[in-house]
Amino acid sequence: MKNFSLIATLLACPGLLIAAEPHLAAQQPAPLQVIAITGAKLLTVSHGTIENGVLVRSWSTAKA
Amino acid sequence: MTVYPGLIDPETNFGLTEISADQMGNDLVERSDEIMPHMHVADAFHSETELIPVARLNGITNAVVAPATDDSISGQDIFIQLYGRDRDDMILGRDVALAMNYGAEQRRRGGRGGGMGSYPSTRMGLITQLRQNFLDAQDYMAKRDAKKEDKSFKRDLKMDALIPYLKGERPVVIGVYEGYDVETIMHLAQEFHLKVILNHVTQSQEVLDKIASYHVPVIVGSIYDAPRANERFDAVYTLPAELAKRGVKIAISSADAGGPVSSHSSRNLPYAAGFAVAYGLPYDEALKAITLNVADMFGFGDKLGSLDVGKMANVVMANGDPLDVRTDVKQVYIQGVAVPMVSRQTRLRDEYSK
Repeated sequence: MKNFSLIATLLACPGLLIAAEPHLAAQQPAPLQVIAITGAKLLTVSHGTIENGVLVRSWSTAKA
Repeated sequence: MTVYPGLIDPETNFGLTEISADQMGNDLVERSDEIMPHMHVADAFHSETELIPVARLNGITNAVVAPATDDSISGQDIFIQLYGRDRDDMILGRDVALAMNYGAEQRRRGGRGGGMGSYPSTRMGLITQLRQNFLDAQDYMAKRDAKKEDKSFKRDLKMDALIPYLKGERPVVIGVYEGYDVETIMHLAQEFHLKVILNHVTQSQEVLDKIASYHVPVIVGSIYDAPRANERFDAVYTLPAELAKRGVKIAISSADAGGPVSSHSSRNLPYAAGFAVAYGLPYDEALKAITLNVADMFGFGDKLGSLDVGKMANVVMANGDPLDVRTDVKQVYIQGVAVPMVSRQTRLRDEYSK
């Protein structure tokens, strides 16, 4: 059975997220930066509602 | 914590007016003619309006900006991001749709500007004038194509502006309220193969099946409008649910009851969707009506409107149901940037609560 209690949704775009929020966990593997919002109820609109989900955003730190 | 995609208002006047009573700050519509497709909202958009941060704080991250509705064709809309370095950064799409209107308001009956009424003062006149302009644009397009190499060919901005819409490359948003007006304007739209988005359809309950048969998306708003004397009290409130039940793709706008579109009410967009849920619209459809459906209608469905891989990080974090007035938005991200959660209203609150 598929378990949708944890899902990673990648949102790729330039810019920064604030990592100081208590619910934000940050990790920065080079060359990608990744920020995740964990334990949230995600109203994805396209894939229904995901309880206790993880929203991950990544972006490249490499200079063009 | 509840996380959802940024909300998208399908009809606002952001950046075209600040205080409507102050005429110096109004760039809402060009009133010198009824057919003004060559007016570009992008040229008037004032990105530093105080109204944008107010809406942004409630999770609105994107909006369509349209001119006011006085003209039969009042100009071309823009699609904006409610945060950015400057106005060019905030405009995601210029000329994304043609703003058309058909009904009693557009008639030149002398009351609006004073003096005698002038053509077109009837619905017959409005349609005739529209048809003539689209026919002229078709002729112009043929001539322009035939004289591509001819540098002396005199360009006509009004006709040029109509061509992408005659080719069906971009949508035409038609603001119309009454059922019989919907039928009349749709005859014209079908005659010229326009790619239509219907707007309002507030008093069109008797033609909902017909609207569904057109297979065009519909923007509903204001859903708070009063019914006609012979209608049930909830005739307008149930409009989103009735259209969705018939398979129509709907969007909900923040328009206020009984008046023109107002950017002051954009912050209340999620509550209009919540109101539609209270009157029978399925919750998921209501959320789509202020996110993905709007993005799809205006050509941004691959970038915005849902939490999906590869989309722009326009994300809202709140402490509950976004359609519930008791919910507080805690943080808004636009293109991944945590936007400052301040507005003129919070500044005033902070100043006077010291």
